[in-house]
Amino acid sequence: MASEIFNQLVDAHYTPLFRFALSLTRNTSDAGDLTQQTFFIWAKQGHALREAGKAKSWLFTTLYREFLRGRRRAERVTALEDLGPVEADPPAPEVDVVTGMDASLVVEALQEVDEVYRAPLTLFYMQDFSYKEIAEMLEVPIGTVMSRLSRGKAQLRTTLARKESAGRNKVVSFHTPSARKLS
Amino acid sequence: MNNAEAKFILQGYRPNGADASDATFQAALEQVQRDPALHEWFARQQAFDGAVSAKLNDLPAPAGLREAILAGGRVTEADPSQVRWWRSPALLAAAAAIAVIFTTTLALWPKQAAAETALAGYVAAFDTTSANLLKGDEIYRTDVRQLTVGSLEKVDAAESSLRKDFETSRKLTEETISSTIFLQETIAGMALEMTLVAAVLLWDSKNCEPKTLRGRLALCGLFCVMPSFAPISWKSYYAAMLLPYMALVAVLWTDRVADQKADRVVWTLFGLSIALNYVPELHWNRLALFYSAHFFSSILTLAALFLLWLRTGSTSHGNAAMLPKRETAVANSVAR
Repeated sequence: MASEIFNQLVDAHYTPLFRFALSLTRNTSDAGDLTQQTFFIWAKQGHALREAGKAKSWLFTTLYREFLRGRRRAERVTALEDLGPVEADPPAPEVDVVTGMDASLVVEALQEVDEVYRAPLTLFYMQDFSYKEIAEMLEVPIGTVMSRLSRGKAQLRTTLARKESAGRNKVVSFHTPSARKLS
Repeated sequence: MNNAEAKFILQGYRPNGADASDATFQAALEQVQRDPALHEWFARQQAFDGAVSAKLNDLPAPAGLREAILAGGRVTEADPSQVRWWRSPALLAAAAAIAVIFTTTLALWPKQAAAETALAGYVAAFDTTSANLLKGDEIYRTDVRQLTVGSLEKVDAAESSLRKDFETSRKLTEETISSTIFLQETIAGMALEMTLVAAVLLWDSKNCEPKTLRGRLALCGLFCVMPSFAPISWKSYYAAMLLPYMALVAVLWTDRVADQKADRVVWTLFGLSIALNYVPELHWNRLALFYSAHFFSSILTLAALFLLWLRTGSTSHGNAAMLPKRETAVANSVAR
């Protein structure tokens, strides 16, 4: 019975958990390890969770904490106060451009967003959690979530615009010296 | 609400409309309906968010990840963490503690009877002494002449008898007071200690996550009540307290999860405990020892650990560092 529940839980959540892990770790292998580890912790102590309905939230929270724990000693998380002001409506690529982009390129852009904004932003874009649930998971006030979403989206727009512009330059790269040599 | 405020709030509005019924967004959404510029901004924002969201949710998980998780989960679940109660050291210790409390109570019970006997003897001696005093006084008052002339021997005898009675009375009083102090302090103190020990053991036995930092908070509680198991020196007491202190320092400070606020109550309890133990010329802990209650600082540390254990909840501090590495290794090998 416990095994059945575990299987159902894995089937329902391992993909979104992996996506969240990938946005945090920026590495497929680390993201896979982090996802596995989260489920193993569940297998070990998940039965202690009184409300089964909170399993999903529990898994995402645990994954985020595991990520922070593994990362804490390597690098200090940037404090919100140290960051500059939000860029007011930065240049954003057209929606059509984003739609035309490869999913991996969009995720790559998401991974370039500062870590402090990346976690709430990824959870927001998964659309499974409200801002209140995100605040609870990340253990920050609701206002902080809103603020981080705002700053994170601004960074994401800038990054996407840069990537889109770089992609366009790549297409006409036959003007570069190396291209001339080949011709 | 102005447009800047509305924009700030609407950053949290999901493009799939799941937040439509959330009251937080109502005022901002009304503002969107009123202001065309804001309406245009919101439409662009939602389209952009929807496009990014669609891309993110298109990303597949790597092949083999599901199988690796399921295999690793089976290995982890197979871990025999549930043992019969008599094979659980914590439950066995709890049963032993209850047996000790019961035996101690039985063993000390006759002393109460002895104290009652001593009290009865004291009352009798007091009565005798009082009667002798009254008798002496009466003799002195009613027949001074007779005493003066011919009864000096009788007065000497009465005085000697009085001294003897007072001596008996004093001894009985001392015994009674001593027995009463023993009953009030020792038994009450021991009962308190044993109750604490039983509660901590019960806490440990109910704790289902022994290999996480949270689980180890509960185990550290055992070291706070360590002095209750046997008479120990101050040096040993401090040695036993090092583990709970290290756990508190780890959770509150060195290994604290980023973004998690430190708990003021826990810090306060922790600080008071340190103050009671280490600030020179502060000997409240000795007062506690005198009354045979548990050391105040140990109780404060225990309270700090328990509060932290409660506050961290079932989701926290299940950590990679303390998770047995072999499980991840086994899962990875199965996946391969």
